[in-house]
Amino acid sequence: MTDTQLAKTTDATQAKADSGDGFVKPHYLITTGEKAYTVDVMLPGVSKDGIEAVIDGGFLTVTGIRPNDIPEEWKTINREIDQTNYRLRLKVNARVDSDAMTARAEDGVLSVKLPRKAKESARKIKIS
Amino acid sequence: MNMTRCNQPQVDGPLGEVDQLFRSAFSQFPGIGRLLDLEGLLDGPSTMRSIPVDIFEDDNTFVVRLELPGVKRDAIDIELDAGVLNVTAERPVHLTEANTSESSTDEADTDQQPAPETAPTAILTRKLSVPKSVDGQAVKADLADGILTLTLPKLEDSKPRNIEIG
Repeated sequence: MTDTQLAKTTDATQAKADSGDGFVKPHYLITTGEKAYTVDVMLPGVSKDGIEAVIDGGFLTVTGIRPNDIPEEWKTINREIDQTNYRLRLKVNARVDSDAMTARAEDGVLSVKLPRKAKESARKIKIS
Repeated sequence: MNMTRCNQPQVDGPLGEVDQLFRSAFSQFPGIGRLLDLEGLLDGPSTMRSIPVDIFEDDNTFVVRLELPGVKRDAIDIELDAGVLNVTAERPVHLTEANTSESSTDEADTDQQPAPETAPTAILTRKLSVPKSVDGQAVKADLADGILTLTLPKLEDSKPRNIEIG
């Protein structure tokens, strides 16, 4: 149940993040729940300490740093796993309660939960 | 039935592709078989993916790293048989339960959630042909942060040795 309308990657900022900055965009999945949106970001090889999730001004930024833990003396026979650090930047288009955002890291996946904010009911403004 | 001379495992076909990565210094076909989409062939939508793999070597061991984010320990199957290392893992496609009804009043909602057995899963797999110099009995596996690391010690005889002139 992906809801791609929830967030759009700001292509301009993402492009800047990819090229030359040494980051790669991780795979992610957005799930729409009744009470909250969940963003699952695949960050294999990143420990909990290497992950940073920030919500700021309507943008959610997730950064994952992979430790370069291959000893010098090892000979490389095959490389397929990308060693680049991860960065994902999403624009949050929906109404969420950013103060109540929670995140959990497990098995190389960061699960960010963004509770939906109920629509503020119309308020009458008293005219003095 | 064809008689094959080699004592290497047969290459089965697109699904059973056994990568001879240990033999060559470079992988000539890096992208081949990485994504096999079997939607329509299996019951329900299901995808089969090739697991990205790193292989390193030093004098005493081979180290194989497999990228398996979101996969639990008990969903991984590792088998070393007749010189073929076969790793298969299963991961639910939807990592988080979507419409989890959090209100206790709504019991009719249980129909909407897919039962765990029928929830779509992705199957991740990789087969590697492993050199004879590996001590199959002493292989160790470790899973951390979505990376499965296999340590394959080399047999004593196959380690580099200095030969003295008598």
